[in-house]
This record gives sequence, C-alpha cells and structure tokens, in this order.
Amino acid sequence: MRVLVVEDSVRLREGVAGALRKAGYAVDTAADGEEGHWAAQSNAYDAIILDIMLPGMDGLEILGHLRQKGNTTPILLLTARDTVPDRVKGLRAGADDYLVKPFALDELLARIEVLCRRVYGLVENCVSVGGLEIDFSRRRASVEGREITLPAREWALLEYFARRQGQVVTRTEIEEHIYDSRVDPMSNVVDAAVYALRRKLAAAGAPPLIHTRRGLGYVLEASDS
Amino acid sequence: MNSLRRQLTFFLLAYGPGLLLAGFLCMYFLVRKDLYEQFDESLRTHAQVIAEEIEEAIPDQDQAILEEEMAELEAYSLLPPYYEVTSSGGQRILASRLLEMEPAGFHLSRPLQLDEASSVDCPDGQPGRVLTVSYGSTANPFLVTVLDYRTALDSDLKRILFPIGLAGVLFVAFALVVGPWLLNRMLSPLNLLNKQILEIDAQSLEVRIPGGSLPVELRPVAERINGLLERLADSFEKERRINANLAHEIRTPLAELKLLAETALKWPESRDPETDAEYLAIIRHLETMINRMLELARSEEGSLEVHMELIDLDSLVRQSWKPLAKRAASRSLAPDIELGAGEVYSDPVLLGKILLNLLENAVDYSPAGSKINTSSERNSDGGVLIRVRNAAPSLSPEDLQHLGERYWRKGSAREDRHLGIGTSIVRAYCAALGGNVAFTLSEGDLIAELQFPPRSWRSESQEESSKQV
Repeated sequence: MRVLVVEDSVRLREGVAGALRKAGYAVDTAADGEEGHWAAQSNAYDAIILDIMLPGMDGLEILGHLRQKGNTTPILLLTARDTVPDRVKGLRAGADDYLVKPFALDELLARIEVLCRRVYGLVENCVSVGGLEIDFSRRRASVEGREITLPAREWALLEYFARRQGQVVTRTEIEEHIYDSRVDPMSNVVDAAVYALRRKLAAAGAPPLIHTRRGLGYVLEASDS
Repeated sequence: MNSLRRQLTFFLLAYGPGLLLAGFLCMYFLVRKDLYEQFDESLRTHAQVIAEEIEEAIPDQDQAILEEEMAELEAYSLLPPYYEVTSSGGQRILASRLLEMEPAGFHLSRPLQLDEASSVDCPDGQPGRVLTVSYGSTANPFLVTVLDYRTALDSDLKRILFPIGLAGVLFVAFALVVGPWLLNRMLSPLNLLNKQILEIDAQSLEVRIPGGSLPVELRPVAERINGLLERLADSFEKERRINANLAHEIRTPLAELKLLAETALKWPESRDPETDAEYLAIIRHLETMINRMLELARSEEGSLEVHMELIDLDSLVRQSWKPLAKRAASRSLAPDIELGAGEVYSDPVLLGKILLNLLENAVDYSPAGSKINTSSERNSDGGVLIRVRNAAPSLSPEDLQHLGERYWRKGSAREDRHLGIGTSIVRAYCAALGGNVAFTLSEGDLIAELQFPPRSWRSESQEESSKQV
C-alpha cells in the first residue's frame, strides 16, 4: 500500500514515514502544501496523511482541490487543531478521517489500514485463497496453520494481491501501490519481488496461486484458469 | 424593585387620576366662584334699583305710590322674591309682597357684613342668597336687603359637576384597564432589547441588535451594545486564535517525541542511533519555547528587570547581528547599518533582544539576496528612533495588525525555528523601556520603527538600575 505524508514538521514527517515503511507501506513525503498537492494529483495513493497548517497551500485547500477534481483517495487529516468545529470542517471538506496531534502510533497505523482496506471494498480482515490464509489485521499469512514469515515489502505485495484477488494486477499498479518514489521505475523490482513471494509460498506448501498473465500482469487466484 | 414599568404604572394609576381630580376640582370651584359672583352682582343690581326707587319716593313721602311702583317692578320680575328696606333704627320701610305675607315682625336674616352676600335659607326653606347694602344720605340712611333663590345656580353647578365627575371616573377606569396594556405596548421596544441582550452569550457574539426597529431613544444603546459585541467577538476570536496557535506550537513537538518513542518501542531492533539526538533537539526546542513564553509573560505582567545605562547603539546592533551573520550570508542577505543616534540610554539586554528578534525575522523571512537596513536617528526632543527595514513581499497591509499578536505567523507553516512570539516580545520589551514599536509597509518593505523617549522621560528614581518596571 502506498501512502503520501504531507507534513511541514521534518521530524514528524520523517517519523511517520519511517513508521509506515516499517509497517510495510510504501511512503512518499511532501514538506509543503504545493508539493503535497502535486504529489497527490500525480500518483495513485491508497491513503494520504495530510496536515492542515502547511506552508504554501493549507491542508483543507489541498483536500478541496482533490475532491473537486474527483480524486477519491482516502485522506486522514493529522493536525493539532482539536476543536469540534475544526474536525467538522475537515470532515465536511472531504476528509475520511481526523487524528489530533499528539497521536498514538498504533492508532495512526490502524486508521491507515482501515482507509486502505476501504479502497478495495473489503470489510473482512481475513482472506482465503486456495489454502492460503491471509489475516490483514494481524499481518499474518499461513498455509494449513503453518505461518509464512515475509519481510515488509513482500507482505505488502501479498496484501495487495489479496485485496485484488481474482483481478489482473499490472506491474505499473504494483509499482504505484507497493513502491514509493525512491524506487527506480525502470528496475525489475516487481518481478523480483513476485518471484521471491512465489518461492516463499511454495516453500510453505501452498499451491501455485500467483499466476502470470502474459503482457498484462499477475493475478492471485486458486487455479490458473 | 426599581422597575421602570412599575414606576410608570404607579404614576399612571396614582398620580394621573389625582392630578386630574385636582384639575377638575379647581375648574369646578373657579366656575362656581364666577357664577356666585355673577349672582351676587345681580342681587346688588336689584338692591340698587330698590334704593333708587326709595330715594325718588322719599321727597314726596308718598308710600302708596312707592308700593305701587314696586309692585309693578315685581310683576315684571325685575325684583327678587324677597327684599326688605329698613331704616337705620331697624324699622321696616318697605318689603316684597312675599315677605309681607310672613308673620308680623319677621325680618330677613342679614349677612354678617354689608355688601357681602352669603348663602341662607329662604323663608319657604329653599336655598337662597342674601345681600344687604346701605343707601341714603347721612341724615336719612336706610338698608336694602335682597334675597333670591339660588336653586337655578345650584342646578347649573350640578350640571357642570356631573360631566367632570364622569370624566374622572372614566379616566380612572381607562388608567386601570387600558393603562397597563398601553404601558406594555409602549415599553415593548425595551422588552425586545432586554430579550435580545439576555440571549447574547459567549457562543452568540456574532448576533447584532437591529437598531432600525427600535425607537430613536434606544438606538444609541443598541449601537453601543453592537459595538461592544463586535469588540468582544474580535477579542474572543483573537484569544481563540492564540490558543489554537499555542496548542499547535506545543502539540507538534509533543507528537514528534511521542512518535519517536513509540517507533523505538514498536521496532526496537531497528532503532536509529540518531534518535537520541532527535529527542534532545525536540526537548531543546520545547525548552526555548517555554523560556520565550515565560519572557513574554513576565514582560506582560510587568515583572521584567530593567537596568538602564548608556549604550553604544552601533556596537549593540553589530553584536545582535553577529549570531545571524552566517544565516544571512547563506541567503546572500546584506546588512546595511547606518546609525546616527550615537549613545542611547536604555537596557542593553532588553534592547539587544528587541534588535535580535527584529533582525532574526528579517534574516529568515526576507527574500534571498535582499538588503536588511538598520538605521537610527535622534529626534528633536532628544528621543531615539531605531528603524529596521527589510523586504517582505508576502506581507499585506492586513497582516500588520497581527504583528505583535502572540503565535501569529504569516501562513500556517510551522517548519521554521520561529515560535510566532518574536514581535510580541518586541512590543512588550519596548513598553518596558518606555517606548513603542510601529510596523508599516512601504514599497514591499516591512519597516519596524522603535521610538524611545528622551532620557529625561524617565524620572531619576526610575533611572536607577536594578529595579522592576
């Protein structure tokens, strides 16, 4: 899942981005309103964490512009403004969630997880594909009870496949949602990560679940139809 | 209770009918007096007619002719029903026919004084009025007493009294029934104003009292209240903005600290060795913030220590510029110092902080490559003017009113080292030094003018060092 963090405080921005990366998210950051607005318009994010008081263009302005242009990316407002009118104003401007500083990291991660899940229309926390059990909330994958240990990036890839179970996922989409702007789009990181994931699933005893659709991309499903 | 409505009701119900009754009674007695005087005058005329007849008859000594003439006058109703003419010795000379019919020796009762009419009962028991007038010569005086019924007079007076009484009763009834309603109606604008004022609280300061619907006497009250509400709303809004900004200033470093700590606890294996340095930097930032807030609070409550002495302004400005020189050079900002005031009498620490705050703002907010001018001059009254001028293309004239407002910064950015209380400190310190600061915009430049009074402005006792301002 790819998240954009727009925050003017360097420490907070880098701290939130670091925590999200550790939690398996691909994260881009922006230090001011204009940069944030540009990034939000240019990339397909699964969620945006947006501060309200920003230099250049404030968070509510960015929110208004994005919603006006039909951008439906879930947005969480992260701000020091804690009054009810501030929250109402933010939510009415089109925000999906509102979190007041100082916040609990686990709460922020949980809220981002919920927002990302909502993008793919999923309500359940668990998905089962051909014997492979994926628990999004506990970030666990297992085959017949045997847990598969995956690094953050591979977990993010599996989670993305699982959320789009049965749909063909292109390399570009994987790049957009799993990798942040620090990754060279011309590299074969996607193929490498898919290969590594397939290997780990097979090692755990799972049947082939990630299938290649030549010229199109990949699909996660129980049998190659 | 001191109630306008009660006072007006009491006045209307008590004083109103009382005054009206008094007015009506005065009018009645004036009319009565006038009618009685007219009646007495007619009695006097009758007495005169009788006296003239007597005086004409006396030379002839013909009683029969006199009685005949008097009878003729009576027949034409030119004489009152009762009259009597007596000699000075009290012997009856002449009397009206009605009186002649009375038993022998009956005399009309006379008033206490001659020529003064008084009310008496007529011989037949009806109310009348009697008048006695003296006529004749000194040698042959006689008294004419005339008595006439005043039934018609009393009847006229009753006719006058009836409408007066009726009007009084009607007025009392009106005052009792219509008065309170009328008062309510007339006082309704006051009630409305009262209701509107009572409905105003801290959450509804945007409400304004519509002055147009009020009587002209109440409009100034509504206008004054609206003005006060506007000022109060501005003040509340300013306080709310200050609190929101302060909350933001404190919450951001707190959030940073909390995030660093939680990240370190959640992923202890990937703890960054620079985390501790980050902790320290955030704590230092909070420490600076608290110190500056305390400085501002102390200056605002007047507990700053001021040590006045003669200072070389040129060296103080250069000293204030020193810590900023590197930052200014990195942004290609050129200092331009033209100081003509020479030595100034001030507190070097406070004046130094004032200059540092202004110069730091200039260094951080001026466009790269611009010039920062610091100048000073001595006024004709001996006071000192210090001016700091720098390019501020992003500031608008509307922003000037916020300079000096705690935690205000142009835009909502919090990415820099500023806390938004620098200009507040400048204002407070200037006041502590007996001066003031004014911010103006000219050709896209922000000009801060510090005006300090001449040395004589401070009294000798104030000039002693180590004292509280």
